Amino acid sequence: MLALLALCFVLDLWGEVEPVQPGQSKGRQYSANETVRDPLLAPRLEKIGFEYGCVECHRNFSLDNKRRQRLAEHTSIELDHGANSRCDNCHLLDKLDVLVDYEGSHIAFEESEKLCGKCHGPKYRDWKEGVHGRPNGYWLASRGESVKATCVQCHSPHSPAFKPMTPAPAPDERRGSGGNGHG
Amino acid sequence: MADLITTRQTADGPDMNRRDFLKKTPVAVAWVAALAGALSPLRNLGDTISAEEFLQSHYKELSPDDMKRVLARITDEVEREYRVRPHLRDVTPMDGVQFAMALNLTRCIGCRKCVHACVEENNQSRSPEIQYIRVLEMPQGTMDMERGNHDYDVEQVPRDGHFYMPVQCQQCENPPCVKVCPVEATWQEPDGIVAVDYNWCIGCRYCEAACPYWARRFNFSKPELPAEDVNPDMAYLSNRPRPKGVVEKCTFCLQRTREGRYPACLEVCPTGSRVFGNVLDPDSSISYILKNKRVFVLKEELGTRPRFYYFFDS
Amino acid sequence: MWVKNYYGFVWSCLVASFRGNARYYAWMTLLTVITLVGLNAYAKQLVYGLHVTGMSDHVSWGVYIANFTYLVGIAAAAAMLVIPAYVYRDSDMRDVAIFGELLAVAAIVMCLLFVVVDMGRPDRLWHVMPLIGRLNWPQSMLSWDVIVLGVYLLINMHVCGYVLYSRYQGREPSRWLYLPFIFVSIGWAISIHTVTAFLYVGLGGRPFWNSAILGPRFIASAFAAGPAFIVLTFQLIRRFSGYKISDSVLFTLRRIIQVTMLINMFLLGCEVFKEFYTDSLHVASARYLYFGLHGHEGLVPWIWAAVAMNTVSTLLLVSHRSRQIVYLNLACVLAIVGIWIEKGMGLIVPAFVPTPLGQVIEYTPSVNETLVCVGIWAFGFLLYTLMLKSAVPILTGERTSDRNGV
Repeated sequence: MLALLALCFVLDLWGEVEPVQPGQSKGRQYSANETVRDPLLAPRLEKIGFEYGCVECHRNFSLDNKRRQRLAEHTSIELDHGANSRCDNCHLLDKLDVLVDYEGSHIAFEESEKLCGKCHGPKYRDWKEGVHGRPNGYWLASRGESVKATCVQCHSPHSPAFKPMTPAPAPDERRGSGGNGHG
Repeated sequence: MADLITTRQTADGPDMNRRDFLKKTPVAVAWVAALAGALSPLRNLGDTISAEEFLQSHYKELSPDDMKRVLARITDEVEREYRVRPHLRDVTPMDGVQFAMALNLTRCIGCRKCVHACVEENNQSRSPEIQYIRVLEMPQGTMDMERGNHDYDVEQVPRDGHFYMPVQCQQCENPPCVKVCPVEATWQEPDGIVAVDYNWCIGCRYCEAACPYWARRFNFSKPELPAEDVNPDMAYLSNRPRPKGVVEKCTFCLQRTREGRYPACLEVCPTGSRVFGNVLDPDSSISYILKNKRVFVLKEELGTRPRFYYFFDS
Repeated sequence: MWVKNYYGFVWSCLVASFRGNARYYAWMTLLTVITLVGLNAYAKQLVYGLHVTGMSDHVSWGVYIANFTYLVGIAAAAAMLVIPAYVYRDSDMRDVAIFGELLAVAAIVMCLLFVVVDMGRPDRLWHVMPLIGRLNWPQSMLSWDVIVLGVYLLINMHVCGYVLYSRYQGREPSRWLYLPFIFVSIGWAISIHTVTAFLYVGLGGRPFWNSAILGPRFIASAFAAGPAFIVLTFQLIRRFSGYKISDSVLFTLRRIIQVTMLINMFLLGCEVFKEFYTDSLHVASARYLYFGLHGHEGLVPWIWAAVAMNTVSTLLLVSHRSRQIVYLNLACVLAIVGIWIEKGMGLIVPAFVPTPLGQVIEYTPSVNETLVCVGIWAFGFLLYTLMLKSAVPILTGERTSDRNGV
């Protein structure tokens, strides 16, 4: 009888030990540091199989802001930035790649945050302090640089609110956290 | 029938005769066989623990030489198992630094990128899945976590009428988990990080019961980590691969932050919801938050004094 | 000389425990087989980790810790024999108090086993040992528990060992060598269960445990379940060993259980009132236990069964019915099972539901986990039977050093 018991043990006749599934590689897709706005580019227009940036057309014919009418070509340009409903709220009309503030001073494209700061004072202050926006690199200046994302790297200036995005996978309660399906 | 326990046969004495021996031997052999059978699953035990590992002292009792040996041993073990030679070191806290993190609940959209970036950085088990950060989808108008949704699986976030609240180790200044550990396998470092010595933890899970933030994770089985996903940048007290049967937790990525870098969850956040830095430096960004934002901590009434702050800003 | 004699005594006890009639062998074989089944299950757990249990990060303690808690109570209940015997000088009790102390030894050993099987790293048990490990004393309540349980085991082993050894040598034990320990053990019994309660009480993050009344409740329920257990054990001892245990002992115990059951029910009622009348968010765990939460009702039938058993048991005990042994036994069985549910699973599991982050994940022990538990219980019974087998003939004077020729 005892020998039978020993045999039962060796043959593992009872119990429900369920081995852990081997871990699936998901790659290192979340180690990338892209911001919420992706790509970072200006709005582009698609026409007969080509893509055009604004300046590519508008260096040839200037904008007439008085007409205030939407052309068919521009339906893909979403403009949802509060009261700013005209191009010249931010752009110099005859030279779109130069920014212009409310008083008419010119601001280079590379320093666009200065323009944003004209209206969004507290946010601009927080950004300069490094607490608005996402830094990368080093929190300790003596070790390396903290690279700040600029306003337009996260917010599209034409429609600054974050767009909804697909969330990464939910936790697997059944397999995760040590659970083995009893949950 | 009344004699089950009372001995009667004292007569035959201690000397066993030949017949007795012949009768008893098979029975004894059968018992030994049954015992061996009962223990037979142990044949699958796999790698055994070396005497050196078994006798290894507590982290705080290791001399620099001991630590060098321990690091060399673990480096070899990791290389053997994952075919990657890790850059493993014991990163010690910096003087004059105490870390804290703040999270902007107005910005967070619940995309869970921090959850997965953390797993990739810190070499957590992929199966069973171990994650340090849990994002709660909260209906607006409440802070009752019981009303939060942990496994929202929707097309797009954020959803109307909800805000998102990531919770991880709060690196408490008065940590209940440290207080309860029977063997001091977990303690608070001078820079405020609550660390675990994976080679000292006995796996009693008392700290898991004590943590009010559900921030600790136990390795119920041997962690499964695909070799190609290993992050070779490792520290002894944080993201080196963990053994079976010990507790682990968020360490503010000390392998990064103690070398001046940002933690992984912060660097991946697409909305820049996280702020991290040294609270002892009055000019740091975290000090700016504490001075200028109306921050709050979770479960303040418990007196844990978290170093993890939440705030809303319009 | 002394050491050699004591060694001879232990050896003769071991030899005696291998002798018995067919019924004894059958009983011991059964217990050994069950122990081996449990050992086999534990071997699997060692290989695959605690993954083979029903526990998770959500409910990180389960039936192992539940049994541990219950058995600390059983161990502490030895004091309920010692107090009448030595404080109130009840001579009938004095003859049987040693059985309670032996039970305490067996119960503590089971406690230690339940803690070891719950550990993720049993190979690092030495880290908990005072002096050689790194015990977090006095911070951690678990470090207190290690110390008080260890000392309680030593006290009881000393008292039992010394008294039996003296009788075995054919002389009266010297009062000075055991009476002080007996009195220390009374206070110590209270301390082991208080410390075990404090293990839970001290956790601010678990409102279900974070209640001052838990300590008194532990003591009351232990002093009900323990003596109930002893009432049944004594009847088995006198039936199978012929050792005289008078009914008066059983009825003294009945009076104790009467009072402790009433106190236990009262304290439980206080807790239930506070939880449900306040009706704050902290009621969630109690609601889960008694009525279910968000459709999860795993413990509801169990706790109501326990409430029913405890109520019937209390009613039986206070009525004159339980002066009949049959009804007393029924009351005892109900109290033992009722309290096991109430302060085992009913105390440990709800504290984890909902989790501190508000998730409701239920816990059911796995088959493997249950087998480990059954194995430890069988081993405890095995140990207790062995000890009784050695002790009874010595107490009756049937086995002494002269007759054993040592």
